[in-house]
Amino acid sequence: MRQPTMNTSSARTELRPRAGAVLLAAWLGAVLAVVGCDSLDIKDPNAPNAEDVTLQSLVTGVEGGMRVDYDIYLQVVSTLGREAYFFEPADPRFTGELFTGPLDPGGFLLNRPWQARYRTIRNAVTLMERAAEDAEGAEKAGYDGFAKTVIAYQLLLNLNLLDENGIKVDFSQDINTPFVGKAEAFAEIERYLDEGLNDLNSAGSAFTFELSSGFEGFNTPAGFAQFNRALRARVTIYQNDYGAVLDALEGSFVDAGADLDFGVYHVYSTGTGDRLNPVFEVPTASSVKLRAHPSFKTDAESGDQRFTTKVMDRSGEAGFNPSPSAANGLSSMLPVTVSRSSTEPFPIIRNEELLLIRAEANIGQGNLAAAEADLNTIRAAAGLEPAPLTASNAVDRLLYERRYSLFMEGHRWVDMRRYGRLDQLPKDRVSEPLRDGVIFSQFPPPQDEVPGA
Amino acid sequence: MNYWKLMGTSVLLACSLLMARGVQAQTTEVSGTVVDAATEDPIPGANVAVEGTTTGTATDAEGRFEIALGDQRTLVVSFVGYRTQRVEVPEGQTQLDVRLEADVLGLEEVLVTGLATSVKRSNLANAVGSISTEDVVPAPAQTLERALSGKIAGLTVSQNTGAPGGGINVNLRGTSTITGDTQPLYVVDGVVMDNSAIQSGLDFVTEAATAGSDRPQGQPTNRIADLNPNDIESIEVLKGASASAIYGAKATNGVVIITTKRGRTGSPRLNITQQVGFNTILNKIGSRKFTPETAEALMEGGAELLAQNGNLDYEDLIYGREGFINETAANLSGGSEDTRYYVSGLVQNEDGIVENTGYQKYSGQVSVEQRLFDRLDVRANASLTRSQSDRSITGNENEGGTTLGFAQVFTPAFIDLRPDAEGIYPDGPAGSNPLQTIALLKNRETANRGILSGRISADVFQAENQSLELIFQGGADVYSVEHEVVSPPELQFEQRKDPSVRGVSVAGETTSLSTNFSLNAVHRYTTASNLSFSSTAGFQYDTRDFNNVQALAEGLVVTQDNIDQASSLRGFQNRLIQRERGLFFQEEADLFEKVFLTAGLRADASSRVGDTDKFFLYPKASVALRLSQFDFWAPARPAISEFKVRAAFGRTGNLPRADAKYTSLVAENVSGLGGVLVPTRLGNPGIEPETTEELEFGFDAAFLNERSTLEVTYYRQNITDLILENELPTSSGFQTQFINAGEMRTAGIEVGLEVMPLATEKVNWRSRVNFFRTRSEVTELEIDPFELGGFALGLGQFQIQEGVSPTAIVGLDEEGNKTFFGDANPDFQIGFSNDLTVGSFDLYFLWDWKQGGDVINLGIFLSDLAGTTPDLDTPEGQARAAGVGGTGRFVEDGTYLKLREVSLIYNVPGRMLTQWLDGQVSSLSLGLSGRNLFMLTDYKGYDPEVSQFGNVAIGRAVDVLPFPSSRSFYLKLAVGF
Repeated sequence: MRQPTMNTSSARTELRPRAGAVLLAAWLGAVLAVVGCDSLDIKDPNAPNAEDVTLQSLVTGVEGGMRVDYDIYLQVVSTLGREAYFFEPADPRFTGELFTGPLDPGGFLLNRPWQARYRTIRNAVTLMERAAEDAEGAEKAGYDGFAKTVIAYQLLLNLNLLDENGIKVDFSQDINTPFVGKAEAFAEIERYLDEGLNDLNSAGSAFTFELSSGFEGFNTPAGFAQFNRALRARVTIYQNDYGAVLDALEGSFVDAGADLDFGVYHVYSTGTGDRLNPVFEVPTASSVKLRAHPSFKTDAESGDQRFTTKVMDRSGEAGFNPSPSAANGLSSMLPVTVSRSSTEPFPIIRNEELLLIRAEANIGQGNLAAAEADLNTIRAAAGLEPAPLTASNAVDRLLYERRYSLFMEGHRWVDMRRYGRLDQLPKDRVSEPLRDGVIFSQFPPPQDEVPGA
Repeated sequence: MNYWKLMGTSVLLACSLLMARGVQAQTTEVSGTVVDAATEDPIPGANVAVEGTTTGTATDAEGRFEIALGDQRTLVVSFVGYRTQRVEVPEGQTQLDVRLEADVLGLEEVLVTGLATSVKRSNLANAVGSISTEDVVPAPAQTLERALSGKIAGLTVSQNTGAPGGGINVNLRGTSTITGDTQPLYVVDGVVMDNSAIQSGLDFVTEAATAGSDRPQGQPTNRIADLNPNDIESIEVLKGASASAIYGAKATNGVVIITTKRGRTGSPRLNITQQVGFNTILNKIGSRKFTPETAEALMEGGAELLAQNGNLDYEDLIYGREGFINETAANLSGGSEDTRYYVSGLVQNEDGIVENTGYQKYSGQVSVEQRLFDRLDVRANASLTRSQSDRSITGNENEGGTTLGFAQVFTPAFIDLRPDAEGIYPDGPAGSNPLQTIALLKNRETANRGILSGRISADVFQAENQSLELIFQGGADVYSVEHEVVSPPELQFEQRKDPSVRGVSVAGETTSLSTNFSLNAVHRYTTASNLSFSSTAGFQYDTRDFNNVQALAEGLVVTQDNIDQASSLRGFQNRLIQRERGLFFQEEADLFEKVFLTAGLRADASSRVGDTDKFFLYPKASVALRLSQFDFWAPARPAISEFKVRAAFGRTGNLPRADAKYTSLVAENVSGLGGVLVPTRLGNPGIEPETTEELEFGFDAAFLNERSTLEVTYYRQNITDLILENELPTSSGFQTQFINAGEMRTAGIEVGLEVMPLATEKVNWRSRVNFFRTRSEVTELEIDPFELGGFALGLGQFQIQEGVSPTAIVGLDEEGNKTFFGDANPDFQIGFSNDLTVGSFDLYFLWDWKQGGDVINLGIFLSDLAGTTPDLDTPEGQARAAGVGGTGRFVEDGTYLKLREVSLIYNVPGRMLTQWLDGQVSSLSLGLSGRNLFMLTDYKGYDPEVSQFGNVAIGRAVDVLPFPSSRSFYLKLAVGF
């Protein structure tokens, strides 16, 4: 309640304008008029806008953006390829939806990585737009070559998720923009790579921007072109275009004599605004979430050092629960040790994969001897004896080596799919609801991309 | 520019009013006293006015007054809490004594309707809710909002979590926005009080916002908590746009006008109230009782563990504390005719139902009023509050059992996690040991806040039948809030992490300064034929500067929680700079005390909308007809003494989020190189406020010898330019953009019935029922229908679609088809309070009943997953765990009946005080009280009042094992000197 706002002064018969009060009111009004007339148009106090930032910061944003939600991508594709499990107590979908379906077109397992790839693309497009305004000649070509190569790589990762469902290539805000099919998508990815290569070839001897240490050896136009061709080799091997694969590899950094780990990496740090390794967990902890599929142990050749270095076998360790409740009936005693710390770099593409791609192309072209040589190089590095390659065992051998060499790098599911072998993957049995798992071959188109979905 | 034109007009208007002239008349002086009719005590500060004029005075400390009468011979005597009296003073009489009767049902209550004017309830054209001082906190409340539950029709209070310190949603008249601000505007003594909810940084530990939903889930407190409920004199609630339009672009969610206590003329009065008590968990969920077979089935070796440990009660181990409560409140007030003061202090200390949790508040307030030169009233208020809450860690999480709720449901009862003799906590199967977490984790919020407000009102001129008053109001609200979240490396869930990020410490510091200034001119004009007009014109300028800085340290050195004792340190900052300008004009007319008309217009410009030069217009108009004042009503008057019909219209706005117009690039750094990445949300440089237009009809009646009142209101709101987060195809690189793209309709009914079944000298019984219901529907959507809130369709979300309630819950059925599973909006709500005074005893209780309103109980979902739900050994439980019913299996009816407040007070009679204490003590009372003593519900979680996502418009009613609600008991002793 409030007292009536009423004039409580004594009655007065004469009219007395109160000079003091009028003065006070005028003064207050003047003060208010002054403070009250500031402009209301305030710049974003928290963040820069795309017109004001430097091209270098856009470049670094593109490089960093590739890492966004890459952990979810790896968790998802390695689960679908029965390479690993992700026992996330807070989210049952890793051990539910990915085994029993239906794959949710609106769920984060698909949408987070899908969106992050296009977001990186948007940054790359913004970089090219700004470069068109602020740079010219070789300098501009450097930005364009960098941007186009990354765009191609990002599109490929999304195509890996949707496969036959295709992807969108217009980056448009209009939801009615159609999906393009798988073949057209590959063609578009190749177009970006090839245009990017042209740009890189006319970008002079050095970039006018810096890349992180993850691109060491690849941070000049010529070096970056090798990365561009390495990606081209991956794209073409997915299409069984063996001649094109070998051509692309010519321009890449494939080298049977070099370190298998030589290549292009995402790097991580605990610094401000930076990110951490996507797969690292302390392997000795009791509640490790990311664990290798049990078949990774049972299928390993004895003495394969790739098994011993890439997982920690805690079988028989009392007190380590192989099947915590988040496992939904699945079980594994094999924490993943692909990365040794939260700041260890994680590969984008490296020499070992290129050798495997070369071997695969050679198998495709019937050059078994050349393929055997590359595969044996890899086997030797894993502490294994050379293995003879025959027409009948070549694909099996190749897929074995790819499985163990590229473990947790996002390949197994794609490999089994392109060889039509998804039905060979273990289905696994989950408890809620109790049933055999399904091996999915692709994600549905994300809900936000389809009108009316 | 618009703005200058409007300013110019108001200045001209003010000046022309200054030129007006009054008429002289013959006068005689009348003097007398005003006393309480029941006690014969003098009433200081009562208003004595001459009817039909603007002449008036106030009684002094002894209740005496003196006033000059002209041609008009009728005096109108009024005071807060009393029925107004009209006294005809015969020619020649110079002495007059007036006895005022208490206004128990509030018929005479005076309510604020404009920014500077007020009106009697009996003349009001809107249903304005009010709570008077004695009804605010009959039982202690940690924070103000808790004290509003069930007291006003159309006002819903629901807590988000039971954690100490609040986190409470206040909703007026249903859903009026989908993405916008949801909380009413709080105006305390004319100053807008910031009610921000600031995230603590707990999400850094729980990772709750990393997967599934990226919306913050730290369940923060909201800052209205800093108000001391004991200082409140009255609360008025402008529920909808028709009443709140004069507050313009920030008033769509209604306005809560709080008036704090002021000094009263008279000798100094000192009141001290001491309350002690305790609180306990209100409702336990229970846990599965294992048999050797079920234990073994759940976990290898389970049967052996069960034989060893039996079934432990983890709810008791975690939430079983009886927390001690202590509250001391004191106030001192008094004053002379020209100077009045009020000073108060509060010390409040509540322990939570979890060890190491609790809430403390220390607050002091000073209010001084001074009258100067017989023409200036100056009022200044200053308050300082320090509050601290320790809230532990509850709710959703994605980091492996970090929160107490997750840890509890993922720990089967046969596993013993209690520390051994050396104080070592065993590792828990959930990834954490909740008992260890309680002991070691710190989640503390400390707020220091000062509010300063001032009001200067000047009688610029005064004539017999008109007056012009200038009112300047200004205020500053400044606070700093410190958050400390420390998750030490010893904790089990930290041990799993890489040493470089093991152990998390978040230091958050928020500073905020809000100011507002307004200048109002009020012109009152009264004619001898009993017409009166009141015109208000004004200008308002508001600023807000908010700065939140968070430092996140990971990889803590053992035993250290300073952020520099860590292997990595990251910083975050969020700033808000807001400026607003408003102009307003309001005209109120009272025609013969029978017809009341109001029309007003407000124009607002804000830095938060796209076009900052544009003024958005918020008009209002209303009419009230007091039919009972007309002659034709005479036959009905004995039965129905008061009958008023009313209709009101108004428009208000709801500002877009401050960042809606910006495309804010985000940092994306790569090992020392500074990078920027496009945001997921695209800015909209053309964003406008949401607009609500409300039409309200109703009637008020008083009957049964004015021992009963009935208030019935129907309202209908059309909300246009709804701000929606339009989902862009993510292949564009963006996910969303805020756009104005929808319309919604909200309608409802409110009924308030107050009865005094007994009113004798010894026994007094006042009973009050509020009934209300509200329905909302999205009527137009320019974008595709979409789901909002929750975590995923399969886990229950809310469907925004034309022709559908915005709070409709959708999910997947067993076949994976999208299906509706109820609605979070309740069917109706009822508040029922009773105040029974028998002799010296006073019994009060308040029931709060919510019928319907579904809740998505993901707690059940999690405990099913963990195999620990109490009913898992029944066929129903097994079916649910097997997925029978799809999403619907954890959508539950949230109906409840709660006993909100109870108090039983014994007031020691005055004669005994005189006899025993020599009259030095003027009042003494003692009693028992309680809050949330009892809850009746079929809901299977802790409390159907829950919101994992805090104060959001859509997406409340999602339960992810919050801090359980508690019930509190108090013993009270109050002494007045």
